[in-house]
Amino acid sequence: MAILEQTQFNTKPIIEESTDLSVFVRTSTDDILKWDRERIVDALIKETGLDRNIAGIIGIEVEKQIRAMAIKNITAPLIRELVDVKLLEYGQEEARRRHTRLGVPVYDVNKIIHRKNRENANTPHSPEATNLTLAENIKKEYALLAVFSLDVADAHMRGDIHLHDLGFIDRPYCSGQSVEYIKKFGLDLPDAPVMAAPPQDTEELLSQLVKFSIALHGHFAGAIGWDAVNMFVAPFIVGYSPERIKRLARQLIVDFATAAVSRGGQGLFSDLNIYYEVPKHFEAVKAIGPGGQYTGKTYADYIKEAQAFAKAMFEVYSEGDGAGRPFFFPKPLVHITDKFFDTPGHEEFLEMICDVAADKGNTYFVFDRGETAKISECCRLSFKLEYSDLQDAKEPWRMRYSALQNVTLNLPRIAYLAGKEDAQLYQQIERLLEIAAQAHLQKKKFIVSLLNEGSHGPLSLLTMNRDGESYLRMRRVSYLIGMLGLNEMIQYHCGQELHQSKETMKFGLKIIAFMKLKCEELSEKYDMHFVLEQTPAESTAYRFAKLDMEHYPEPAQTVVKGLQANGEIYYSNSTYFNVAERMNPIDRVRDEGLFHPLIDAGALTHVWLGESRPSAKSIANFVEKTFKQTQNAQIAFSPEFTACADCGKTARGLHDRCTYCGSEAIEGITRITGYFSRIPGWNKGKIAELRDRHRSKFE
Amino acid sequence: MENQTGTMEIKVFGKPDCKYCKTTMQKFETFLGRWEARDKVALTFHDMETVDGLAEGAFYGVTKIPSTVIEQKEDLLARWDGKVPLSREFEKFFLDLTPPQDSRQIN
Repeated sequence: MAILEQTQFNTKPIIEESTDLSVFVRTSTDDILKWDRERIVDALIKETGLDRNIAGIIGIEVEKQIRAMAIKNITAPLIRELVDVKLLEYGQEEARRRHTRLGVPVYDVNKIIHRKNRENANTPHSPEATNLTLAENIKKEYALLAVFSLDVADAHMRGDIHLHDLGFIDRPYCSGQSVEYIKKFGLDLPDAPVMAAPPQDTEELLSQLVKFSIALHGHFAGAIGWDAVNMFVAPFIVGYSPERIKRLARQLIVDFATAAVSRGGQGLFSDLNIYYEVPKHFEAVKAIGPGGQYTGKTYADYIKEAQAFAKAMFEVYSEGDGAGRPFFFPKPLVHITDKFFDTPGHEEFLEMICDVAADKGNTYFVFDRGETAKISECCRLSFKLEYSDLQDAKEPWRMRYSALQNVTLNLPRIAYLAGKEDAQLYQQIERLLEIAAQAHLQKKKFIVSLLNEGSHGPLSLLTMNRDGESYLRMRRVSYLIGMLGLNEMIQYHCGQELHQSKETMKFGLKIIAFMKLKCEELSEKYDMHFVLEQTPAESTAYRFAKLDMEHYPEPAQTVVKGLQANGEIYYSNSTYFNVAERMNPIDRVRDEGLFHPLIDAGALTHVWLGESRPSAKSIANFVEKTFKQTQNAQIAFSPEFTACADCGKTARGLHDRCTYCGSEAIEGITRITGYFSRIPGWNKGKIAELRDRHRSKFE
Repeated sequence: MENQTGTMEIKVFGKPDCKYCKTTMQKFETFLGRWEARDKVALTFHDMETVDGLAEGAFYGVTKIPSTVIEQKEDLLARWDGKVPLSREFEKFFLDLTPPQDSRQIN
């Protein structure tokens, strides 16, 4: 029924005086008020912009309904729902959307408080963590209702795309930082009661580094990465003994690892980029020492100290935490470059980091071939340094990067919709890429509106200006487009999995090449930097598979991985091959690596080790071969562990009971996607993937 | 040109506005013509600015242009990355294809 007709019919009720209805309303501001219809009218005008006459009619209609119920007390949320029903009855859909109340049903709150969040294995189960989950739920609803347009929100809800970290809608996604910012400016955070001057000694520097990371963790959805950490620390440790350097390295790693306080009790998702050589773009850069003062030397002059700190860090990683387990965070990302192999002593260092990779799995090997330079962080995200960045490298504190959002395309669904027609396939990809671009535009608009609130806004930390521009440099922000299930897309479309023939490999490459070139077109069109990233897909691989089994069961059940009978299903991550395929690891690294040059914002191949413990030498050979003979961008080796809560020991491999004391109070630990975590916190899809993973043998 | 099984293939990866890529193609065309081997060899240019060219380049791990690959029955015979091959570097692959009376010039 249209509201105008209703207005003409009901002129009398509009002038009707407020009633003598004796109902009390429990408000959301912890108050109990006597019924007043005008409150509905005022709220409708304020929140939805409705005309007073129309709002008046709605108020009267709701009052009639409440009168008919013959109740004494009513809550404000229930009144709001009654109003929303009336708005729908009167055809006021847009007003209803604006008037919607966001919240969580009691049943869900109960579940959130009592059960662990499995969407993110890095979220613990604690009161602080449930606060985070509840807030995330409301912000997610808000994002889908108020930030994104209906078509974008619907594409996410249907599972055509996945808008990552909706619960963190009011912050950017991931970021890369420079230690030089702290060394030069100290810690002068907008909301902190005091400012810390530039650090005077190493302890102070490392302390500020961790504290700033914690502050940043509260302003980004994902990882906090730091570039060339060992090199930037180097001027502070001149003349230090190896023992002292190791104590400092331990302080840094343990402080990062135990800082599970910053965001809902989550571990501080942190990445430390490490170089054994001094990267070419930093060689001639003037080094900053204690007190923010230049030391009169360049970073090339501190290579010995930088190497000593890197080695000390890996000694700490090798020992593990107090129980001998691998440190989950901070992740060490070692850059392997041409210069690395020309640097004296690299053989010893390579063997050292490979020993840690084989034993604990911490080391990430980031391959920067030729002139490529990048900062890596998050699960695999990397920021390739362009010409202007290399100019910024002269003043390294300027080197701050961020990805604002990640939107992933459900590739298997595209194949189902395309009905095995190539032209349809490309058309569907293009359609979803355009929706992804719209999603990025909308998130950008929202974030910019928050940034524009400046020092009084929620993102004041990111607007602080110490070097002539705000901390978050919007001009260097990337917008990520991810892909999920290329293997299942190809399997459905071509009848074979990605790795099974040259034709399917080439077709897979064509799909990613198409996406890359379309991203470049969209970048031109919208003047934004859209780039492909391999989606880590901790929960998306499960979500897409689950939604497709509901909405496209016939085609989905022919390709979905895992156990369909109990719902433990998943799609292969990004451009990965089937994890169950018994491939030689070097073949997997080489062939998966063919996709990596097309994926500018980060790609990684996992080598699942399981129980086996290869020698450092064999890993080192593998790493060198990967660098010199493949195009793979990054690799990580993942062993598995069983930690016992009773005896406190950690055994290699996944076991049903402790191999030391026989206790069943154990938990498995391995890499879920781009980081280590405890297996009991994993979602169903990842559990299924873990079961399927083919573990590689080296010797 | 479509490859035929057993036919020797030369794949040149480049971009339309890259003069070294043009030179590479012209060089192969000239020498294959001179050696009367043009109809026995599939010479193709893969434009790395197109989807097909970029995908084919990725399959061959091409990261620099021009890159050239010579294959026969899918066996890699020779490869050059980021440079224009010299004719003396690829001449040997076409000797068997060349008629005996051919008088060749090498530069």
